[in-house]
Amino acid sequence: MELTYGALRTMSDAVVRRIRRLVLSGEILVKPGDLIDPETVIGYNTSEECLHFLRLDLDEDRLLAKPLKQVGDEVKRGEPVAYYMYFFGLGYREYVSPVNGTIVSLDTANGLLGIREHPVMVKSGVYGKVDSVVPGHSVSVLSRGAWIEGTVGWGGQAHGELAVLASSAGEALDPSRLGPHCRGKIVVAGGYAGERTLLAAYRHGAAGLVAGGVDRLAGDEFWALSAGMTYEEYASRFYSAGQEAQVADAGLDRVLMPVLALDGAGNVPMRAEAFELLKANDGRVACLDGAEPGGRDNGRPELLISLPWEDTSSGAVPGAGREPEPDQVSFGIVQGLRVRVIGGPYHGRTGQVVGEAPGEMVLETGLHVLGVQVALDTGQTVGVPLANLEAVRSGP
Amino acid sequence: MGRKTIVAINCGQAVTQVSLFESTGISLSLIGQATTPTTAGAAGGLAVGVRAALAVLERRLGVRLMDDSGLPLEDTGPNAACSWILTADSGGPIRVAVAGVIDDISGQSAMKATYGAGAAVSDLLAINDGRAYYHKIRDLRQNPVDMIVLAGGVDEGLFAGGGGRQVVNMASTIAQARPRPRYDPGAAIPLVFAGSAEARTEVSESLAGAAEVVYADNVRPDLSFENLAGVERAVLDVFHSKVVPNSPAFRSLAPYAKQVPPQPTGAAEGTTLTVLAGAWKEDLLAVDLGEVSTSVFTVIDGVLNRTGSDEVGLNMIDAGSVAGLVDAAECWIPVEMGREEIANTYSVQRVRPGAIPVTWRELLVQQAAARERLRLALDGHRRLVALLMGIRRQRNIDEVLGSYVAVGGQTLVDLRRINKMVITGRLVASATSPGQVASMVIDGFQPQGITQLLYDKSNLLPHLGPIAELDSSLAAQMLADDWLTPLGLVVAPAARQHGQFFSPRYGQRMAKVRIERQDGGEIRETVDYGTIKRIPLEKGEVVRVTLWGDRLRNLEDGQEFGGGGFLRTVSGGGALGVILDGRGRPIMMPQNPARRRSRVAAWLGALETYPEDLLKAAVRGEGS
Repeated sequence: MELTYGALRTMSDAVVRRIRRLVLSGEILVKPGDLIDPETVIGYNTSEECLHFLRLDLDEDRLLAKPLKQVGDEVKRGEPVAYYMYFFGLGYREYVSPVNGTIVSLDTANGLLGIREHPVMVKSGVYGKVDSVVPGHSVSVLSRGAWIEGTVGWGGQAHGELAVLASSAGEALDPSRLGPHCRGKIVVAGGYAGERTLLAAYRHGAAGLVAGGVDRLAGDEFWALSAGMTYEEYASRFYSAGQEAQVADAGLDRVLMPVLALDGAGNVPMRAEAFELLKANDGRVACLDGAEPGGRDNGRPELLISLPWEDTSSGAVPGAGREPEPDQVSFGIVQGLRVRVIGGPYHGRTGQVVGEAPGEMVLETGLHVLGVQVALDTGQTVGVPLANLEAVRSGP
Repeated sequence: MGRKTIVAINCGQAVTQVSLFESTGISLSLIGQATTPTTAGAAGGLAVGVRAALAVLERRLGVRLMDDSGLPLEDTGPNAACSWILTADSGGPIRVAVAGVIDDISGQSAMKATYGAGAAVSDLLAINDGRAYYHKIRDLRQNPVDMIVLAGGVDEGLFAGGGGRQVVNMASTIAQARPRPRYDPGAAIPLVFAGSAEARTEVSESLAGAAEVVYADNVRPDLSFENLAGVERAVLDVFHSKVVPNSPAFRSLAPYAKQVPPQPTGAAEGTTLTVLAGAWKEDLLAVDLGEVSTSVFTVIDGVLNRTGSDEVGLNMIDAGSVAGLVDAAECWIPVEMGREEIANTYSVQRVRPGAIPVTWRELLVQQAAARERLRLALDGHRRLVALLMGIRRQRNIDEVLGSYVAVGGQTLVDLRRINKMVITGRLVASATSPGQVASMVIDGFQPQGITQLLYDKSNLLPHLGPIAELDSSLAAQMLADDWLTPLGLVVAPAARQHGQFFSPRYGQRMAKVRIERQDGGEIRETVDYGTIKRIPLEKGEVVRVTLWGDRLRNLEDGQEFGGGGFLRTVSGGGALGVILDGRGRPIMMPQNPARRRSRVAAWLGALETYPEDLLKAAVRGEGS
C-alpha cells in the first residue's frame, strides 16, 4: 500500500508527550507524577555561568565613568549602573544593565563591571503530568487536550489565553481590530495574516498569533525584527509595556511573539476543522510552538490547548491512560482517506481520495508519476500525485 | 557462478528507495526500484517505509523479498543468495556537534573528518567562535545531537610552558552543558575525543559523568599534519554501537542490516566516488542534491572530501537567509514572478520536501533555488577543503612587504582541474529533461575549462559503494556497465579575471573550438561572450574537443597565454552534446529585470530546458 508523506492532525482530544528543557544547566523542581499547570515553574536555569560584562570608560588606569551601584547591589534590566559625563557636562554616556541580576565585580584597572544574571525560571506552558525527569536537563510532560498541527512557524514557544477574533476560517483579520485587549493572548487571525496584522499584534503585546496562512517573507521579516528587538527598544518604539511580565519570566533579552501558519505560507485558507476547534476553545489557555518544521528538533509547529490532567485522567473522560500520539505518522492511501493537497493549483485544499488503486498520471511538466483522484471539498474532482498528499486526521 | 540478488535500501530524509539488483558474477543489473515516504517519526520507525517500498517492489516485479511478518528473506529463489544493504541519509543517522580549540585549525580538521564519516555537522564550537561561554552551553543543550567530536592540541608538548589548557576548558564547557543524545535523552552523550594524547586524562576527568568518552587518534597530532581516518572510524563505530541500537527509528531496521552494518548515505556515496575516481585516474566533483540536503564531494589526488549542508547543518537555510535565497533564485527565473510567490512556493517545498512540483512555475522555483543551493554548497566545500591553517612558516619577501599573504586556508578545489562532475540526488531525479539537470549544475557550480557532466538518473550512487565493498568484482562491473549517463561536455573558457584579458562585450569571441567526431568529421565553432551554444551529438558518440583562446588564461597552470594559445583537448559526449558556455566566470546578469529574464530564457532555451512557449513569454516581456 502506498503511504502518505506525513499527516496534518487536528485532534479535539489527544494525548501528547512534550519535552521542556532548561536553556542552561540548572535545577528541575518537579518530579515524575506531579500534576502541573501552564504557570508551573518546572525548573530554574542556574546563573553560575551567566556573567555579563560592561566595559566602562577608562583613561590610562583611572576609571572615568562613575558607578551608580556597588558590588552586591541588585540591578534590573535597563537600569543605569554607571554614567560618564565629559566635556564640561556637554557629553553624557550611560551604562545600563542588560539583565536582571547582581553586580559581582568591578575592576577599576580595566573598567570591567560584572553582572551575574538572576536564575531564570522555566514554565511548563501546558497542563499535564510529569512523565519523566532528566536531572538538571529536561522534563517530559504528558498532556491531554485539543491539538492542532501547523505547517510553518516562527519564533519559539508562548502560552496565553486563546482569543478568536476572526469570524470565519477564510477571513483575513483587519489589523484595526487588534488592540490592547490582545495583550498576553494568543490571537487567532483567521485565514490570512499579512505583515500589518503581525506588526499590529506585536505592538499590542499579543503572546502569539495563529492564522491559516502567513506570507513567508512577511513572517521571516517579522521574525528577524522581533529576534533583534530588545526589551528597551520595544518599550521605546511601541510605547507599551505589553510584554514586560512575559519577558521577565522567560529571562529572554528579546521580545518575541511566536507565529503559527496552520496551513502554509501565503494566502492559504485555514482548514475548517481547525477553525471550529479553535472557536470551541476560545478563552482557554493554549501553548503555541512556532518551531521550524523539520528543524533541529525534527518537530513541527503546533497549538496545544491542554486540559487539567486531573480532569482528563478521571473515569469521566473516555480513553484515559492511552498512549501518546507519535510525532509523525504516515497513512496508507485508501479510498475515503481524508487528505490535503500540497502544491499546485489546489494547494491547501482538503478532500477525500476516490477511485481505485493509484494510477500513472502525467503532470504539466511532463513528469510521469503515480497519482489518485481526490474529491475536493469544493466539489471538484482532480488528479493529484501521491507525493503531494498528506493525510488529514481530525476528531478525538 | 550462481545468481545473486542484492536488495539495497536507502532511507533518505524524505524518501525511502529500495533497489533490487541481480548479479551473475559477470554482470550486475538493476531489476527494479520503488520509493515510499520515509517514516522516521512513525511508531514503527523507518521499517514502516522500508516494508511499504519492498511491498511495492514485490508487487511490481512478482518476486518475494519479505516473509509474512515483513522480515527479509535470505533467499529469493532456488539456489539464490540474497544480500541486504542499508544506507541512511546524512541528516538522519548521525548528527554531530564539533568542538575544537581554534575553529580554523582543530575545529576545521575535526569537521572534515566528521563529514567524511557521512555525518551532518550541526554546530562548530571553538574558543574563538565569538560566543559567550553560556551561549555555547545554551546551544549545546538546545540542539540535540547524537554525539560530540572534540579536538584540539598537539600530541607532544601540549602543556609545555603552562599553556595548552584550552582543550580542557572546552571539555569543561561541554561538561557544564551536559547535553543529552538525540536518540535517548536519558543517556550520557558519546564524545569522540580526537585531541592531544597528553590531555586525555584531564579531558576524561572533566567529562566524568557528563559524557561517555571514546578516544580516537589526534586529528592534528602536529600543526602541519592532519589525520582524519581515526575520527571517521570512531564516528562510524559510535553510530553502529550507540545510535543504531538505541535510536527508535533505527532499531526497527536491524533485520535489514544483518549482513552488512548500515552506512550513512554520505559515506556510501564517498566509497562509490573513490572507486570511480581511481578508475578514471582523474579528479572529480560530485553533488548529491537532495530535497533538503546538499552534499558536495571532491576526490582530489585520490583524497575524498565531503561536506554537507541541510536543515540542521552549519549552512542551514534559516528564516533570515530564505530571503537571500529567494533574491538569488529570482535571477534565474525566466518568467515574471514576484518575490512573495517565489518565497511561498519555496516554503512549500521546504516544509514538504517529498512533494513534486506540479506546475512549470513550481519547477522553475525549485530549480532556481537549487542553483543557489549548489553555489552555497560549493562555497562551503571550498572553504573546508583548503590548505591547513596554523602552520608556522617562513614568510617570503612578498609577504613581508604586504603584497601577498599566504598563511593557509587557500582552497584546494580548483574547478579548472576538475574534468568530471557527477550529479545525483532526488531533486535531479525529478527534473523532466537532461537540460534542466545540466543547466542547474552549470549555473550553480559554474565549471571552468572542459568538464564532462555525468548524471546518476536512478539515484544509485548510495547503493553502489556498499555493493563494491561487498564484492570488489562487482565494482569493476559497475564501472564497465556505464551506470552513469553522460549529460554533455561543457566548454567554459577560463575565469574572467578582474582588470584582465578582455572587456565583456556581448557576443564578442572568447575562444575557438574544434570538435573532432568519430566519423572523421570536424566542427569548428566559437565561444562568444554572454551566450550558450549547444552542439548536438549522436547518441553515445564521443568527440574530441580542442579549445583555443586569444586572451585567456591557461587552464592548466594559470599562466597567461599570448594570442592563439592552445588550451586543452578532452574527449567526451552526452545527451546534450557539447555545450559552449561563453558567459564568463562569475556569470554576470543584466540589471534590468526584463533584459535579465530574456537573457536567462535564451540560455535555458539553448539547453532545451523548458518548453519554448514558456520561454518566449520572457522574450516578449523584454520587448514590452
